[in-house]
Order: sequence, then structure tokens, then C-alpha cells
Amino acid sequence: LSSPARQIASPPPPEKRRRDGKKRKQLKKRVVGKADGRYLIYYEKQ
Amino acid sequence: MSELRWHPLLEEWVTVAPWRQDRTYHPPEDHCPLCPTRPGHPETEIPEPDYYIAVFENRFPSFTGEQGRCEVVCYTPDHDSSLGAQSVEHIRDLIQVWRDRTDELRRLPNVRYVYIFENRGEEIGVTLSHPHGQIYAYPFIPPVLQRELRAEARHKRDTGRCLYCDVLEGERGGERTVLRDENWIAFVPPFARWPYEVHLAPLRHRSGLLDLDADDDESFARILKGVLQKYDRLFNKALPYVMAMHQTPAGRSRSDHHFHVEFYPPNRTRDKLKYLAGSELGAGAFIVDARAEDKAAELRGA
Repeated sequence: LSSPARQIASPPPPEKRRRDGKKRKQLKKRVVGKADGRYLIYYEKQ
Repeated sequence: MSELRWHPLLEEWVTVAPWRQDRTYHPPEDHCPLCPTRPGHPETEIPEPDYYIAVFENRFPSFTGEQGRCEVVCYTPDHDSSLGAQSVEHIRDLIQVWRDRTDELRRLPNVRYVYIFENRGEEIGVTLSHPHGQIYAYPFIPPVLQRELRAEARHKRDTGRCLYCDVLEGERGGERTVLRDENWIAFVPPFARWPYEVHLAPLRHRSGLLDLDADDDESFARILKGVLQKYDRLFNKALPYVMAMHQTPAGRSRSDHHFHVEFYPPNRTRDKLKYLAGSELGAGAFIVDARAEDKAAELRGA
């Protein structure tokens, strides 16, 4: 498992790959509570 | 709280949630609970007069409290629209929302699987026509996923390879391809159980939404929109379907599982539906009266 070939064949962890790739425009997230205790989340453009 | 009952013959959970019998059933359009609240009208599930994408806890959930979570994802405030009618940019943003919900729900203590899906059309049993999807955060790994994971693990053990990567390898000829770009493919699998079943998958091994990069998102959005447009052009009507996202289970950072999305439209022709009957329901054996290669050609031309 620790051979160089195996290491090269393994995909990079997702966090690394996301950092290396194009940047995503993040949505704004707004959480509000409803009267009956449930939550509602608005996803909005920045 | 719903009750989980074990089916000893099939070795799977059955969820009993009697309050769902009272869920909203085909309300008139001016009483749609998923539309934004209009000034001077009764409040809907979404109190504000407009929104971009909204998510809320289902009022009639199958899982509650410690068991898990059920959410409704409203794709758009436009009551008469659809997922496939959204722009690529909007679908890309929706992928971001699906990813955010996956990341949050998978962290809940008892959640074992986050399942994103959409039921579209009255033929499927949809009770609200407003364009929306759902998310179930299950306290167990659902049986279909469990079977997939077992098959993938066995294949990995036997060959050292990802099972779904090998399935995609079999699609190089393109005979069953519906759409494809450099990152994603949509195809009718050779083992399709529905005439117009389509799978969407990243060509590189990704285990779930959390594993996709920005290029994957862009391709996913384009291919998803493309397939949905073809579905609606196929018979020149809004084709009903179930959309099912098969991600890796919660709590597994690395996985042999290959993320993909499955679509099951019930139509076998414009006006005839395939029903699950004796063989499918009673014996679990699907009989399909169509060849995947022929149906893929129809969809390519739509």
C-alpha cells in the first residue's frame, strides 16, 4: 500500500483537488426558524 | 417519531410513519406551499416574497428527531418551471446546495446515508407539482445502496478495480451513450430495468458530491440539463421520472463507490406506462421490453 506506484495511483483528497481547481462562487446561506420549530434555509446569490 | 420495523425475510428496514397519510395532496395552484408568499395571501412554507433556492424540513417527514432528517429542496420560485428548464448556472448552484446539505446532514449523529432524489409527475405519485426535490438522511444504508456497495467491494477485492469504472469502460463504443463531455457521461446502461433509464456519472472516479471539483460541477450541470431536455422532447411532453443520486455513505471519506445519478421514467411509449407487477414486485425480477441500445438512440435523437 505504501509503494510509490500505489501513491501515484491514489486520487488526491477532495479538499486538495477543490483548492487546485477553479474557484466556485459560493452562495450566501441564511437559516431561519419556523414557528413550529422546523428550519428553512435560503440560498442566495452573493 | 416513526417506527422502524425489521423485515426478516428481506433483511431490510420498513419505516412506519402514519402521519404522512395527511400530507398535502394536489393543492390548487394558488395554495401551493412551495411558492413564495404573495402579499395579502396566506403564508406558504416560504414566508418571503421571492427566493433563489430554498430548503426546509419536510412537514410530513419519514424520519424525525434522532432518527434522521427529511428535507424539501425548492429549485425555483416559478411554479410552472422544472429542473431541466433552469439555466446551467442555476443547476450548478443547485449542485452546491445539494453538496452543502450532504455535508451538513452526514454529520448528524445517527445518519448513515444522505439520499438526494426527485419524484416528478403525477404518474410517479407526486402530490405537489411545484419543481422540487427531496433529501432523506437515513438512519441506515438503504437496501439498494447496500447491494451496490457489496457488489463494488466484491469487485474491488477480485480485480482491484472500481466496478462502476469498469461499467463506464464498457461504454467507450458509444452505442448506449446519450450525452458526453470530457468529464461526465449520460448513458442507458446495458442492464437498464426501465426502457428510458439513464445513468449520469463522472468519468473519473468520484465517490459523491463532496468529491467533485468545479469542472465536474460544470459538466454535471450541463449533462443533467441536456438529459432532462431530451426527456421532455422525447414525446413532446413533460416526462415523469424518479431521479436518484447514489453517493458514498456518510462517514466514509474514501470509498470504492462511484458517484452516479439514476433516472427511471415509467413510460415505455408516449401514452403507455411500465408498471411494477408480479415479476418485479413479487419476485424482484425486472422484465424489460426494450433494448438499451435502441432507447439510447431515441434519446440521442430527441
